[in-house]
Amino acid sequence: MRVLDLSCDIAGRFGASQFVAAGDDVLRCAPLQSVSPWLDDGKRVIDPAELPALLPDCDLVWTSFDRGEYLGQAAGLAVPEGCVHVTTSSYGTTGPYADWRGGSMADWAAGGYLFITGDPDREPLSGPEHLCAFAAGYTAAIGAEAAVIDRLRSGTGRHIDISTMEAMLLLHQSTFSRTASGELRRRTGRYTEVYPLTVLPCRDGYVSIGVVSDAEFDKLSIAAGRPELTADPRFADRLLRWDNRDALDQELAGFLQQHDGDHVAEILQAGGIACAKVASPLEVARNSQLASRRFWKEATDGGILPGDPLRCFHPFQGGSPGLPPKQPDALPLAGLRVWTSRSSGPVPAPPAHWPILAPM
Amino acid sequence: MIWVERPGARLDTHIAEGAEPTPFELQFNLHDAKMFRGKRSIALNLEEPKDLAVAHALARQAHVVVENFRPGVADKLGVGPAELSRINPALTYVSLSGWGADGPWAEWRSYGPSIEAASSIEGRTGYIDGEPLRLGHTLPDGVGGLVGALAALRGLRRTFAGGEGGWYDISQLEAYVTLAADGVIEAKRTGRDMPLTGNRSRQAGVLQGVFPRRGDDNWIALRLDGDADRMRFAEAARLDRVLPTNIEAAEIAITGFTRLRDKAELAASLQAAGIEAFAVLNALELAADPHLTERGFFVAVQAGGRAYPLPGTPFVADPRMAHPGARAPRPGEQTDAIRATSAPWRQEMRCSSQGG
Repeated sequence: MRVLDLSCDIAGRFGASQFVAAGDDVLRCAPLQSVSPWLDDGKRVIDPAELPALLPDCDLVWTSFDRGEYLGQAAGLAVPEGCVHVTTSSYGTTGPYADWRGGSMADWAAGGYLFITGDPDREPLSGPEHLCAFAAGYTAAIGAEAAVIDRLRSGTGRHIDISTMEAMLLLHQSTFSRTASGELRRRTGRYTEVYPLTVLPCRDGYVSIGVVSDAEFDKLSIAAGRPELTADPRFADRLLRWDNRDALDQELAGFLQQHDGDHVAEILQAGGIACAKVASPLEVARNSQLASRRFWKEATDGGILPGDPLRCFHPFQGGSPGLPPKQPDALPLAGLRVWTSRSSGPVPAPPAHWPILAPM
Repeated sequence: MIWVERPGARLDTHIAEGAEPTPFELQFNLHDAKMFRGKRSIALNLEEPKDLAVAHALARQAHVVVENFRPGVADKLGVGPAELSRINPALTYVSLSGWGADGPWAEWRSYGPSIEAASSIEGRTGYIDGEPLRLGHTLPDGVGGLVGALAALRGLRRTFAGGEGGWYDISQLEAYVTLAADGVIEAKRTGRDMPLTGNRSRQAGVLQGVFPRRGDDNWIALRLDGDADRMRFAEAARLDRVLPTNIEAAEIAITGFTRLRDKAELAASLQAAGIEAFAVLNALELAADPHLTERGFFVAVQAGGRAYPLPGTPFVADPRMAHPGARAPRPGEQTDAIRATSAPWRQEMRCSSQGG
């Protein structure tokens, strides 16, 4: 399949990169200096001057939109009706906010997560800067795949207008069902409505403990070496555990302060309790589970890049990881200036004659 | 889509026409309406040979199977990827587990917060000098679902094009870590972790935050990227001088402007000046938001004869490609009908896989 990436935002670039992982031929039409080692890994980069010659042969086109306009190379461009056209933006290409300026802070607010994250007596708190855009990128890739499949069946293309705002709102599991029943979700800090489904300090940081049911609380008490807590009337059910959460924190503190977070997780998981250390980015980079599954790829600059979380085994029996299918219908690029962005393998040098273009 | 449920495993949250549900009943009814809409339900006890045979018959005709047992459980039940692919070699089989089907944590248990903790996203969320904090509502479950849906479609396209089926082993951790990978890449590059920064940006020259507005628990999020945005803000706020370069002083100056403004006009006026600004909306405000209303995002779901707004589809498409208003099935509602037919799925869908 022939994919053309004209996007300028993280959602679009990340969404289009899902098609690289699927083995499709993804062309990124952008100035070479704008290429991202991660988001554009495996895309073939073409000079924007070649765009008119390539556009009619594309099956899937990615564009970005902000402040009422298509961005970059997509500005004023007529995308062929027969192809699948995906546009990513903070608010969408229609509606009262279509002319508004989007971005990472607006995404957290518009997606409904900002109001409910943080301490109740402090200002709302945002999460990692680009998380919403990445989630929208996954959403856009789903829409693109579904539309491509429908095009295979029906021959009909379509335009899909993905907003980060709506992508994030869809990810709320119960916020809106609670609102309809009269309960407005607010900020609760480290607490959830059940206890101890929470984060607690341990010897070298913090651990996330997942106890929802009474049976899980019994398992926690036993695994933590405090079996007497199973019979403690203060913690007899979830409502009482919530009412007596400070006392419960004190009872568990002795166990938690004896061990590092990774050790706490091992002990509690062995006892049947969901638990993990609150990891820092560096700890994630050396996480044993991810290492065992070879999730991280070595980048050519000595760093790491994430692998494809869509890990496919094919065929079933024998279980060897599947390789991307071959590219039977790559865009004809003979005579055009092309450079393959390859951040996680051998680095092909950009052609010496590559033109210096203005940033997008 | 046929949903195989264990008999008796799910509460029947149906609310009869005209009934007055309790808030608890309504909440669970609407939760089911969001999560299960458009599916048909068959109740099968996979430990019973005759029910397992029904599951195998369904798998023979299915394009996609999705399961989220812990690793190995589906195999023990006789519905694992090896067994079902033997029955249907063209099948796309998607397994969604917390940590993945192999590795030292494969047997570990997980809830959304465990995944969030292990991903570094919790470790990167928190007030300056504070403790790490979870996001306000669990995201890893939904993100794992997104990646599972993407896997199903990737496999489906492959088989529509004449390829073989495949088993997608999706780890929620890997799906979620990918959303935070920029921070991991950077930490690995520099060899150090960054301290918590609250709402402040880690990018030089960017001034951003969440600032109070007039009223109780009213806030606005805004982001000024560079000198041009700072000048725009100073002009919009009619400050007699440019924003200070010192972050704390600049935040005080911004707060001095925002705290006196109503939320309705503040975001619009800053946006009119070309500034990234958005009111921090709660769920009630979002459900009534004019932008989302015009785009048709919320759908009215009926419960007991009344309509309630729930998120619809993020796929705003022309031609339309999703129909989020369908109702959710009661537990096992279509069991007899599905058992009684030899063609449980619509004919045109089955034909499409043979002709492309």
